Amino acid sequence: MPFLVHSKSRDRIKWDKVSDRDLLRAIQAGDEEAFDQLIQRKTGPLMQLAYRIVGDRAEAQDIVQVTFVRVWEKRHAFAERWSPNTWLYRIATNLAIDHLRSRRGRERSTEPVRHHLRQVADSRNRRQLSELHSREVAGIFERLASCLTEKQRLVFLLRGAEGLSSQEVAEIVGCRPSTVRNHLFAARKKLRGELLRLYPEYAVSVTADDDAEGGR
Amino acid sequence: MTCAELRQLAPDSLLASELEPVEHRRAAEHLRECPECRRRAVAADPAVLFLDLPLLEVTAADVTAVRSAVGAMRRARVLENETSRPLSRWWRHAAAAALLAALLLVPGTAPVEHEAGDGSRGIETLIDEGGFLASATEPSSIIENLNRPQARIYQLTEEDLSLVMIVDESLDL
Repeated sequence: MPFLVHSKSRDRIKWDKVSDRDLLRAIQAGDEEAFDQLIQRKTGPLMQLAYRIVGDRAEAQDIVQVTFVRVWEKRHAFAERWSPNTWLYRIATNLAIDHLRSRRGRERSTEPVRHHLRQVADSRNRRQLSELHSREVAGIFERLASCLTEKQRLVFLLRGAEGLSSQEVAEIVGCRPSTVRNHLFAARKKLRGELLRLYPEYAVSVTADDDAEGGR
Repeated sequence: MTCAELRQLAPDSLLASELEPVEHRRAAEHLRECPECRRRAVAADPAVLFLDLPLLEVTAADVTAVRSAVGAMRRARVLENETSRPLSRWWRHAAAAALLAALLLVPGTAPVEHEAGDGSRGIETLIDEGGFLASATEPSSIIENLNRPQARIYQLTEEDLSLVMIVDESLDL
């Protein structure tokens, strides 16, 4: 009876079941199958993250591709003290921020943004803030996020939208958890202020709601 | 997650509370589905609105595209490294030594300066019919004809040997 010496599908099944950390250990040893599995496993979450930072699907995909190339090239720099997700997010986040900076340099005109905002404003006429669709919310966030610093924006996205813990966010952004909380507080305050300044119609409903809550 | 659980979790703002990632996800899902809780949460902190940024749908085709692009980029990097790798110092020294030895060993060898049609000057070494390096002119004529103000000239003359080196001073470090 013949022996199975090598089977790609068998290897794939094996990699399916290993943890992210073991996958990265295998990649450090130069295992291409493990690297392929990492791409399969992490493309979704990394694209999600990059998309939230840069706001464009194609650009997010470019960032993820470069992230994986960087992961392979810097695989020996992965340290055991890192959480695999944190390490990957950190690489992708830095690339996304670099991309945003270079894009800001290229795009000085605000007209496309204004046009988009007009569309958003038209579509949200006479609706409660809490009733906006997520696409509209994303449009508003893009506008308001320009008032945030890079770190405030990152912290808000990682903590608020991605739901990571303060410790994880601190490791990705490269600061202390207490600083993450400060950035988050400042981001919330600025977003709230800008939201009420640029969309004053919502100020009434929020105040009314607050009063109603206070009266209960 | 129920409405009561959510309101107990975050009386002031979901963003301010230190929820575990799993709890955070459940809270966000509940807000997406429950208009009343969403209204209350946004009223307490409008920034909570941005918990519900749209999710990107990543398909198997996206993963395949990323995989092939990463493969292509890695191959390109390897190729780039191979073609741009400078000659090692050892090889450069060996090549220089071999050239110098050839010039020293072959009788009557000397590089000559010539002027090209565009007025630029250069040095050439001719190979005679027998395959030996041979000079077109005598070294002394090279020095006489050289009119570059920024050149240093070195000449080494032995019995059957003439070696002339012309160094452009503008290239000095």
